[in-house]
Amino acid sequence: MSVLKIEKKILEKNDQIAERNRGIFLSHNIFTMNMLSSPGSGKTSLIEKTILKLDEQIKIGVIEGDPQTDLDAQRLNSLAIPVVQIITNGGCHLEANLVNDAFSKGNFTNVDLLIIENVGNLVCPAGFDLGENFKIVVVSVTEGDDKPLKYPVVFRNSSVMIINKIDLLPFVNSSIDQLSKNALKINPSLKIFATSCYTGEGLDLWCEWLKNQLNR
Amino acid sequence: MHELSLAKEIISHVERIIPVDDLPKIQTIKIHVGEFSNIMPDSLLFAFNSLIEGTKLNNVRLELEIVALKVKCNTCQEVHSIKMNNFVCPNCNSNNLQLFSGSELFIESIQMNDD
Repeated sequence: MSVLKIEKKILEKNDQIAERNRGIFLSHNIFTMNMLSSPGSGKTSLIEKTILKLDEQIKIGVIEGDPQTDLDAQRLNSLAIPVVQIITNGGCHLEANLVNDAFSKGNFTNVDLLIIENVGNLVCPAGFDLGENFKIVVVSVTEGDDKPLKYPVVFRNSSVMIINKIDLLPFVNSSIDQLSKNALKINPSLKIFATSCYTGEGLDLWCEWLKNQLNR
Repeated sequence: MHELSLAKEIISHVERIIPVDDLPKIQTIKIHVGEFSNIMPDSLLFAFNSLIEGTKLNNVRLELEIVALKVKCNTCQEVHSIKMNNFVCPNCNSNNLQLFSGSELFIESIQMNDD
């Protein structure tokens, strides 16, 4: 009987490709964010509103990840920006090689900001580096304010949290305050925004902050 | 469900490291899985055992060592185990913490039968 010491990271291949992606994004001076949330929290609406607000100031491109259909890419196509849809065929998360492939298919080299909309899922995507500058987690008030306590890894690994659909607060049993407190228990350095894509509340603050990240 | 991707990665790592004729000699693959890595051990074992069925790795046992979530406090410098949803130092109450362990996801060793 012999024991072979290996000490090899299981996701080594993904991490290597993510590092390569990071180099590609840097060489084109592209700022990248990886957007995570449960299904239906309003990621695509937030992306639409962000593009509409910042369109004249910065060039934005989007990589869309979905288990099926290119409905989200179709929505964004009307905004005349570069969009590539990744269909994971049921797969629960994006991996670095899928993003690498999508990047080479799209006309992204001139964009300032690349938004990667991950598959709606608060568990699996949290562990996969795609080469992004930061992860952003979106949580809608309808999901309940205990979400961060139930899914701590994604909240710890993200730099920003957007609390979305705040126009629905009068109808649900959750509060921005409690949601923020719970998220900060997991990650005290989390930057928090509260938005409604329906009324437009909070979008200016979010877009202004995002734009400033590109100039840093 | 991403446990299936991880099981595939484990197998492809092992197939790269061990010569094909020696694959049936493998008895155990030992991996470290951090408590804070979002991995469900049973799902990973199920995916792994399903993938190796009928292959040269048919009899391999995947052994998981679960690594506890520990943080190092940047204020008092102590290392403590904490609960996953409350990042506060049990010693000084600071929330300025860095992950010390618990996000591991690596193959530690492969045990071979040399007979």
